[in-house]
Amino acid sequence: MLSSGDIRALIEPTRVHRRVYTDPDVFALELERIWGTAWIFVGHDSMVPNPGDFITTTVGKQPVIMVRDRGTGEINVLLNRCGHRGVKLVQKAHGNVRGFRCPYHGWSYRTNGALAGAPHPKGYQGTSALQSKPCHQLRLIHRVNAYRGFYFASLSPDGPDLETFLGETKATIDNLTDRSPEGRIEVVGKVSNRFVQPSNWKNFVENLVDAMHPMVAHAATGEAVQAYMDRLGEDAPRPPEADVIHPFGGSYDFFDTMGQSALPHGHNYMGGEKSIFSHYNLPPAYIEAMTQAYGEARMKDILSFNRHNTTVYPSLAVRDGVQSIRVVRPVSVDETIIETWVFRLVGAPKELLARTLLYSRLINAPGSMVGPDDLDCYFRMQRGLQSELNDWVDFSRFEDDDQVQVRKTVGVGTSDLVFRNQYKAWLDYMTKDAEA
Amino acid sequence: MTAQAFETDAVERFIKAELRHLNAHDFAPWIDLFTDDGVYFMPLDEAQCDPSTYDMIMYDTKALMRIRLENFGHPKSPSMEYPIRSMRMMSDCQIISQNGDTCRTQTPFMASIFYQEMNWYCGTYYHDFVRDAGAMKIKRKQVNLLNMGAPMGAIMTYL
Repeated sequence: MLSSGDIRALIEPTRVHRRVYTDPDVFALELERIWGTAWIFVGHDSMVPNPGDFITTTVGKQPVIMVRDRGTGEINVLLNRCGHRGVKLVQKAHGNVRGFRCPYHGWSYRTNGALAGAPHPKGYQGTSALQSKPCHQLRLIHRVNAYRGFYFASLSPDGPDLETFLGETKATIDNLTDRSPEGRIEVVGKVSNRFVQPSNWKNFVENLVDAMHPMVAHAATGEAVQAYMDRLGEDAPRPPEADVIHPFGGSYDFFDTMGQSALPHGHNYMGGEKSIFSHYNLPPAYIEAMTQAYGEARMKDILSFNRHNTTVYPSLAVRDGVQSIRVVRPVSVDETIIETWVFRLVGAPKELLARTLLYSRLINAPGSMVGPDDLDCYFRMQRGLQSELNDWVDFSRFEDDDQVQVRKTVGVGTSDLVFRNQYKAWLDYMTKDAEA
Repeated sequence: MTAQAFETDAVERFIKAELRHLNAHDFAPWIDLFTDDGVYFMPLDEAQCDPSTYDMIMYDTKALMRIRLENFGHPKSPSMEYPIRSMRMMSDCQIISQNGDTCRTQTPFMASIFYQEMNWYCGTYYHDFVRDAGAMKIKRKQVNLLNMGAPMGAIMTYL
């Protein structure tokens, strides 16, 4: 059992001990104290548009079902575990049901999680009223709430409410949604790309805002694009693939000027005034639709908002500029599943979705060229950190240059500020219960 | 003039030759088998095959194939530092539709890719062929994996 002192010894101001990535006991404690208390992203309301629609996923180590109630039309997040003998009720990733029925002994549940009945009920007569027992229903997740269609769950009865937790990251979710002329987004497809990452979940969460890696880890992809374009000749039109991939080989100066912002609860974002998406041309029909919907000034505000990878620590990354999210599902200390979901801006011309899909395929998909280089670096880090001859992982870059503002701390784009901020939150979560 | 019908034997020989290029990592002539607007793709779901509407496991236009060709074995790519050895095998090819200068085939396949460790893939190839100045070309190669939609690691080469 790790003590509060043991945990504190793993985190120093500008470095962390390798055990935070490699120790199964630390991982187990993270599931309890971080994934078991923070607001964890479950799904978007457009994933379950009709009554009875459901998806299954996990909140930390808890299997859950997000389902649209057949009675009220509201969205419920239920424990995916029969109240009888503990059987996982639903194995499918998505579907539509009238209710849930356990495949083992047939206990059945409504889409609001209430026990509907158990077969051959006379055996329970005179013992207890099944329906009145909280442990016999599925509505056992302490807190469920949504912000603009993004559903989160917390396994803890205590803690900040969702909007307080999200803080300034709400602006990114707002921007993603407001980029639709109708203020509505819809997830694309029932099935998402899911990467099996052979490393700790924090590798991914850190990499999202690691501006020192693209020009090294993705240099080959940038050079491959350049070599291809050189062969095409100066006058040849650039293929759209080149426009998307090329910025990943950008310079240190480019990424420096994007800036980093560290927020409470370990959240952060890169960019703001500019990002690698800010040079994207937008179709005139889209500008027109946005102007009609919002007026010119507000349209310009929305479309000049250029954050790159806003992290809602620990489970969600939002790329509003390319209408996609990455979702973190930890499996074990050295395995993580990363989901990528893409959104359609309702009311926007279809060219917008085409580019969003192009970006996702080129950068995030298992068959992309960019993703495998990230994956291999995570894999190597997980293996390298097994070494006991050097215990520490360095986060000292620009350590004296953090600029504290009212609700955030900012630094240049290649600063390690955001990692230091993540580990400050990590330490808060990991030591809170122990010291209560 | 009546279009010449596609014959199963000829189509099967074509696909076998295609797979020989892939097994040999001989990608430049493999890319030349495609029409200029040809695509290679792997859907996430049988119902999600339109690239303008759905995300994909992989979707390469001919331009992207040529970019990927530059990336294979690139000394600055961490994931390309490992050798990739591969073997694809196909079962009987069937023509499932044809109309004049076009035809669509379905071919069960298995592919063993050695990349750090052995990885096995299997599923169905769907080829859309056209005749281009008398020569057969691939307009579309769709690779439906049996485990499409499941979590997976990086797919390092064409199947």
